[in-house]
Amino acid sequence: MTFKIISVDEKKCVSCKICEIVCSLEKEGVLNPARSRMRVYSLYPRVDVPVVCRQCNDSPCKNACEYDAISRNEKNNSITIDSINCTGCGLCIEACPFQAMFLHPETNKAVTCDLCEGDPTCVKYCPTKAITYVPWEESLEAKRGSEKRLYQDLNLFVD
Amino acid sequence: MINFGGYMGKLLRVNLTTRNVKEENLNEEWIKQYLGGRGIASKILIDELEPGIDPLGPKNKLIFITGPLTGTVIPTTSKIGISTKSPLTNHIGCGFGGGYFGPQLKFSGYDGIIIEGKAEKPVYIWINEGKAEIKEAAHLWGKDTQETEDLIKKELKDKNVEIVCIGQAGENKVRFAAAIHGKHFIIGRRGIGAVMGSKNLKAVAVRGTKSVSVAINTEKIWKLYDEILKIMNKNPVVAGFKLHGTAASVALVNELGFMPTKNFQEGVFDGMDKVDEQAYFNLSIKPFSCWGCPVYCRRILEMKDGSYAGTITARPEHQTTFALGSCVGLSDTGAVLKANLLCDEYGLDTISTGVVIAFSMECYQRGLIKESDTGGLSLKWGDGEVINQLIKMIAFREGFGDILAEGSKRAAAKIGKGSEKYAMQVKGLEIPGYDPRGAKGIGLNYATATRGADHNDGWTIAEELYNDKVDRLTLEGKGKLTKEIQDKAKTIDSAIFCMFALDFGYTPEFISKSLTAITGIRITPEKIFEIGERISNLERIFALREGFSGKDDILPERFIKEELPFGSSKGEKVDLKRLLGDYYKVRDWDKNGYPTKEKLKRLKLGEYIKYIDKWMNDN
Repeated sequence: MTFKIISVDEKKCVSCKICEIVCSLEKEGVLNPARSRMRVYSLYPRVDVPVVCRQCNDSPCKNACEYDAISRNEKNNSITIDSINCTGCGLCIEACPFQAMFLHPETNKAVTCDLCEGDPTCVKYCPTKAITYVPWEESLEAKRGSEKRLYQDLNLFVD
Repeated sequence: MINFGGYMGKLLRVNLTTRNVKEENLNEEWIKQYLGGRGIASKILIDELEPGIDPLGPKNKLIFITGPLTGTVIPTTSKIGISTKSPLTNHIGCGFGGGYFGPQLKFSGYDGIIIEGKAEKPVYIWINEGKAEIKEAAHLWGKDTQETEDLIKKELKDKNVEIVCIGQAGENKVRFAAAIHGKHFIIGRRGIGAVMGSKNLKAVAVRGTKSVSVAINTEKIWKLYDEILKIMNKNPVVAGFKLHGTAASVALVNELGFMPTKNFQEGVFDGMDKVDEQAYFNLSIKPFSCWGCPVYCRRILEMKDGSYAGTITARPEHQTTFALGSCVGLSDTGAVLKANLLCDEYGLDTISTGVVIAFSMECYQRGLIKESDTGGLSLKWGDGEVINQLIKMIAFREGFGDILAEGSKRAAAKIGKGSEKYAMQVKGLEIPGYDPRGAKGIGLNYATATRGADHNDGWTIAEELYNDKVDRLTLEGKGKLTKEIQDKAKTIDSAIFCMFALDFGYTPEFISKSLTAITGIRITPEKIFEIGERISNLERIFALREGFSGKDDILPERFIKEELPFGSSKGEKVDLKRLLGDYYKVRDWDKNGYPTKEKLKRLKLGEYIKYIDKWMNDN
């Protein structure tokens, strides 16, 4: 199956975090990056990394969920969270190798990127084109092979 | 609950002496009169500070403040303002810095923080989701701003926490110590860092997940956002800033002969090409940005070779290439970059640091001070090692550095021997990087700005450099130009926009539209100027109350008596008397520089007429 992904070129990111704020406005109608479906991490001084769902084939988040709240959207390959079934237990958040699952600060349910029905708002407003929405075969991610290695190289989630 | 959009409706008051913390409602009347940001901070200071208090004593207060646009999607609105009575000028000492702290403070639930008193031991304030805590900071005392930032983030175990802190310069109460956020966002001038140090306050850390609510619906916000992005994307200044940031006009100002060189003795620096915008662009690792800003005008640079190889820091701003470059005669790409890094780490304002060093170098040039005064240092123009040594001595108040740490005005008073005329300052604040002889409007602004010689208080340079209809050298019309730009700047600082918003394509009409949309209060373009003018006059009253008058609206005599010796501004001097006469008239101030009672009444500042009356009786 062919699908598109929000491809991340961390070398172009300037950490303006416009993606976070337009995401909260699009998905929730509020100005509040804490409710966004993505995060930008600044790894001073050389790189800033937008972190958003990588659409893993083996979907560790889905496998970790014990409440049948996570499924795959067949139309665009995004991860869908059923907010009724979700208990906010946090297992998916722990399981995500990219920390791209978030706990909503008000509802306490898991949220993640749903690709805005195939027209991601963050991509539209990114001023440097650090994030683009492209077919998987053409993405930087496909060329790199393992995304995990990129994150390891950047030392992103190792404290 | 507040009735307007854009505001969180709450101020946090923290008393460091009693460790008492409480919430207060934001006064709705203040919003209508002063908008937010700088306006509200100045209002709080004039109402809560007794005249004549020691800025470095426990009676001074620090106001961290945002505006109604902070934390919204409207671009270039990320700035945090900090206001206090300045230990350098004794005037209102507000400063603004970009980055992420302002929006995060709003997300934590507050429009601002009022900090009072003095902690017994070093502390930092931690505001998490609207709950404030005073935490011990003994382990952070003595650390530079970069270490402090990293240590607090680690300690609080949160990547999203935002921090404003001081380095060693603030701890040692250097009168021009800065507050630093995110390693390279500087709330720089007038000694805000020293006031933090005097209160034993090492840092303020903040984090929150609340929303900023606005008066219009989502669809209308998108429309407003798309409209301004379209304007900004076509704007040539935005394009220039993406490449070179504020350094974009360094080479041009030098070419036009008013780049202050060797303590303003000259206006053309032969070595500019080593420290101009292109020299630094060549060292770029990557651009970086303030929160929500599509201009991303900052850059991280790395020195790859030479004796400063391995130095990594933010690109020097225009003001830094001047103050630590041309003004001290330093034409060494790496040495200026290193000086910039040291100022960020120790927490120093680069302008005052460079200009006070330039002052000492001119004293040395003229034989007013000798090696026996400086601890053996030869203060020769352009010696990078000596300059960087002096920066450290200032930050730690070591030897001769202790005198310079007082700022040019006080240092000259200590040195004496007629050195006062080489102290390039107005009201105690060191003069920024445009020689007023080459742009008369900026000279008038230096003389009259409510914060001392500050370029941002009335940045006439945009008009004097880039508007074909404005002649930078003429006196004609500069009173009106300067007054209007000063008033606009107050509104910009109260909204709070980036001071370059007007250059990036924002018009008064669009500013009015954004403010009305976000707050729900009808704010017409005329009203914007009225608010700005009100704040200008309020801050003037603060200064008058401290004992200043029109007699203090001066420039160093060099600009009035000495002609620029060569270059494109050769032969120019400043006729300040004529400029001031024009300016006071446009302002409706009397010949002594006092606002008339009628003016104050019209601006709804009638409650402050009592201070004018008092002055009339006293004199």
